[in-house]
Amino acid sequence: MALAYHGYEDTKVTDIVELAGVSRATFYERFASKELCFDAAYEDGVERLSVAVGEAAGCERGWANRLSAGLSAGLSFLAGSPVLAHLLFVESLAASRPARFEHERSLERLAEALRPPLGSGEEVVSKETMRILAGGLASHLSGRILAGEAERLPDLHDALLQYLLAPSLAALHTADERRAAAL
Amino acid sequence: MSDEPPRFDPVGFAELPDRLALGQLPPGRHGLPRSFVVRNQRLRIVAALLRMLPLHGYSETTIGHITSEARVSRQAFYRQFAGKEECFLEAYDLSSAWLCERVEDAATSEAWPARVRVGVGEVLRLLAANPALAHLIAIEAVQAGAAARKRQQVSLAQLAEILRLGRPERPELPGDLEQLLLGGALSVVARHVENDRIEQLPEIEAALVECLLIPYLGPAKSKKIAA
Repeated sequence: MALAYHGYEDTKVTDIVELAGVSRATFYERFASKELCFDAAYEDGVERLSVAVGEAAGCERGWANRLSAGLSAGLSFLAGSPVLAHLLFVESLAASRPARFEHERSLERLAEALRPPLGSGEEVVSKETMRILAGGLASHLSGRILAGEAERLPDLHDALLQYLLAPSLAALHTADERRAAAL
Repeated sequence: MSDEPPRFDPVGFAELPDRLALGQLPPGRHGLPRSFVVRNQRLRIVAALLRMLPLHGYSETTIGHITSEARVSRQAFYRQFAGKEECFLEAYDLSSAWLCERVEDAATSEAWPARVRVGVGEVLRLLAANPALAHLIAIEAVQAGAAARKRQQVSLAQLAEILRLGRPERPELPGDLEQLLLGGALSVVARHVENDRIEQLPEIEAALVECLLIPYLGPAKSKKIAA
């Protein structure tokens, strides 16, 4: 919570313990430093977000439907928890180096999740393309959240879905064209 | 392209006479117009901020760091800027305008999709030759608050505009596709900067170009053009 009020840089351990209603001693029993407390909050947030996305996607059939449902659940989750959204997409970039590496790991995880399953005859979209795609999504969300528009994130669903589908649909499309040309 | 990539230097950038460009103006009566002196000082402060950012990062850079690097008084700083953020935004504006102008010049004679390759190649070459600029654009602009982030969106949109000229019309694709992808490309540039690989930035050209072309051309063709 304290992070959203003060930003990572200006948050003091005093602010955290005051908001959490715990003593300084209790804080240091649990966390060696503010950095470790941030890491724990970040990790926990990523986990909750990916559970929400995974559950929604798991209920759907077909890759595009799963992507759509996962995106929708993710955007709603973030809209419902603007403080967490800020922590995951804004503060993680301003935090210390290890936290930024953690953010990079999350982006790679997201890139993996966005990758379509391979069908026969499809052209392969490279891992690096998916990483850039994931980075573009995160950076766009980050900008909106920073502008104080976290609550309106679900409005972006259709445009972002189009964006996320674009490379893979093109892969399908060109593979089809190629097959047609070969016939 | 074997010629040396240009260096970004906001003081020299103002086309000051060479002997004055990087240093302090001589004290006392130098016969230079007042407006020139003020502008020189302003750019010197901006240049100092640019040099301090890679050392301290935006949040740890203090007005003291900037004024001692620029060799101006605190008072002089506050006569020019309301604070660090305003100074940062000016540094960002100068940098991104400089970058966009050069990319446009480089890409202007090419037709899409070669345009994308030339434009992206030029951005990476310029960033690799100007580490302070790479830091500013990829790392600090993300950390310097909401106003800086808005400027970043505007410059990505500008760059997107340059790169997509002449691409095929695809109504099913989002209108800001290139801008979104460039945001992703910037996060990959940031990863390189973080890992002290600024000089190697041109290595990621093929991956970025491929990604920008895939939605239109599919993976196989895009890879071929990017290589």
